[in-house]
Amino acid sequence: MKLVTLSAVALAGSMMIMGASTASAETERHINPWQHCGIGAGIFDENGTAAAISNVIWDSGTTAVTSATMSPETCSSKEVEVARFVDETYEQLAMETAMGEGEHLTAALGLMNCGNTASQEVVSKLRADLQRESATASYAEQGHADKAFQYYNSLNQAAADCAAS
Amino acid sequence: MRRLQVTLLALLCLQSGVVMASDTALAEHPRWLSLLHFDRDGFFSKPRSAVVDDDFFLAVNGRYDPRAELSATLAALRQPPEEGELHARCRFPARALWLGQVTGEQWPQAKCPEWHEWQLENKDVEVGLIFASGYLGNPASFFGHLMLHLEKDDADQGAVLTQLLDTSMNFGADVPAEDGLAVYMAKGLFGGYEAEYSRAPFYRNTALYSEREMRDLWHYRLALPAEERKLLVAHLYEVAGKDFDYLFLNQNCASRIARTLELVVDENLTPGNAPWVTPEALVRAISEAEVQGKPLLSGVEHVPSRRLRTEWRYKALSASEQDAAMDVWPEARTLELEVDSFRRLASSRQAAVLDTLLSHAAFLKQTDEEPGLAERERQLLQARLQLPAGSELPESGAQVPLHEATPSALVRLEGVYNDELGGGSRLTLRPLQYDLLDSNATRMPNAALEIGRTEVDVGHDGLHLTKFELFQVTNLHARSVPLPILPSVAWQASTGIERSQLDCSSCLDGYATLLGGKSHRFGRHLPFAMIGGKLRSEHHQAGPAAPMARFGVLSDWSTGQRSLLQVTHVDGLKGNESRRTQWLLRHRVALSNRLDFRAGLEGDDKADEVSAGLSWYF
Repeated sequence: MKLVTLSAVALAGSMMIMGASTASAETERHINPWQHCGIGAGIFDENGTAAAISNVIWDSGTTAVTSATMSPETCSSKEVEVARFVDETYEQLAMETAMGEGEHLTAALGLMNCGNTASQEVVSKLRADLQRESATASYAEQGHADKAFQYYNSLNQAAADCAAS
Repeated sequence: MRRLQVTLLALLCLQSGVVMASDTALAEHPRWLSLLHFDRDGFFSKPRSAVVDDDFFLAVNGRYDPRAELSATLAALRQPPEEGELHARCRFPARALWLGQVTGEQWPQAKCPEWHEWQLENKDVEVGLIFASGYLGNPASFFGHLMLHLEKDDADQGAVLTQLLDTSMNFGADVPAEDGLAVYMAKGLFGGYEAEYSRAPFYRNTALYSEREMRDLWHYRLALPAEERKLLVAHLYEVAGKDFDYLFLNQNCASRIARTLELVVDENLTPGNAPWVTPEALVRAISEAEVQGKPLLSGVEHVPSRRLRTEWRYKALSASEQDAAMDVWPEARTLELEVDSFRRLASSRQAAVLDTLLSHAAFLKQTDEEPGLAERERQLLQARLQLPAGSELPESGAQVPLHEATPSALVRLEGVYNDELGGGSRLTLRPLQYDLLDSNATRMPNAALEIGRTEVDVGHDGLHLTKFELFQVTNLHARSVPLPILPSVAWQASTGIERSQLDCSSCLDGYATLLGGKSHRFGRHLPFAMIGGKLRSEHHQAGPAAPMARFGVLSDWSTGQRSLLQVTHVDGLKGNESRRTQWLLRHRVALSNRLDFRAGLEGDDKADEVSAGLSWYF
């Protein structure tokens, strides 16, 4: 949990550094798509309360925006599109990340605007993160939304340079 | 041709100023009727649009009167935009586009934010179809499923995109979760559901069809001219989310997509009043259709299911690597990553073995809930992450696209000799779809789905119906690779009327059977054993309910030759007279895509029969 929190804080920090100046862009950079845009809502429904399954998401420190400031436009941002893709294809993304290539991984990198050269480095970082996250048996017990959220954070950090370019 | 004639007439009328006549001609124009989906004209109801949403019509009686809808549409398009109201050209951009072309009129400018966003999202998209192969887990999916596919042009995306990020337009019924199977079937067959085009990213459909239901997908790309594509994409905006009539058999995904494509394809892609329309019928029609003198179909791409991906990976391994895979994962609950046979492989080959096992774990996760599978998958992930990146999916043999596979309807003429009844001939008709001998990987391997199979014998004493099978569904659930799998049930269900014994020609009884059991592949042979029961009428046999056992072997001798050996025992629990043991051996030789030769031996306690003949598929 500590690692996740640290990575989330790092993510928030990196987003702020590379952020644009407009208010709406700033808002989008603080979105927690799982919390604010209903991603993974089906999983929440199946498991009772969201808080019960998802300490990682709710404690991540990237939840600065209150729901009152959210709008449909915000939740249709590119960032949320990436989050939705990660949430719905996490199983394939994790597998292809371990393999080092695959169509879902290519799509995720494409969404992050990573070209071929940058992709190799991003994939290396993603593999290192996944290796760390899945190192202990507790990974197998984690909920889908938590795993997807961690991968989303990892992807945002690993591909930060792609997005900035 | 009719479309051209009507267009010319409309234009002539417009030129001559005969406004009323031009409106009439336009109102009857096939393209206008396509825009309204005005294609419902049953025996007991007046012609109408298939759209049931009032919101789709501007005239009060627009659903039933295309001319009134045309007048209302033209009037609305000519109106200047009003504050707080969405202009007609924003709501109906395809109508505006086409009517502007044929009348030459310019419509007032209007702000259309949603339509503008749709245009941006679908700028320069190519239109295609996605066919999802048949799925025996849901009666509505037995014959496969079709979706429209909007393929992004990745030239200006700045990065390599995959088709996963394309858009699907899925025409499906809105089925309340509380409807059970009986209600579902009744409403599906006789009415009660509505359907709509829903929009979703393609990856959502690959997750459902390829990963969860293990169905192969086929992407049929259409070569539509740019102007036609523009009109079709605009029309999809108009109909997205609108409620349509829905019936399983002839108001389904295939028929609605056919009607939608007919907006830009000047052909009847499927018959308007057919009792049923299958996805296969539309795919075949598209493979033969033309647009502006050129083939409509520009290419076909296969998207393999998770099961097939695993099979390809396994078959690409060498024999020693396959052994290593089996040693690492010998049974569902055991994973041994330290076995010698695996550890002595080069790291790149270890990676290939682990890629296969990871793919297999993804398959297992969808077939059942196995305790501990998540932990075994984690261990595989960890092991794979310690090895170098890189994993190309190997391809295994050419896959036959649906439109090139053997057609599903057949007529067969056989010579028959029965040692009690003598010689004669037999005519078999089967409208749909495939049996164990002519099934294939494109539809559903090791399965049968026959609807309405009818057999008529012609002998010295005249013509006799010997069998009418309303349906027969079989799924032998054969494993495609020898890796550990979770328990799965082979099953068979059928109902119809048939001869109660082979020594009579007029001893028909009704029956309904349900069997469940196991199968296991040994090389080219697939033996199976099932037990269950049979409900039957008692005109010619004893016992209305009879326990039943069936054993058999399905053997693949080569690409075009397959045989089935099967023994069935039924016991009515009323002594010897209620028992019947029947055996059969049938062999099929494919002579071409549309022709086969079949020979059979069959026997029961009363008589034996031999048959041979030719089948024509159409």
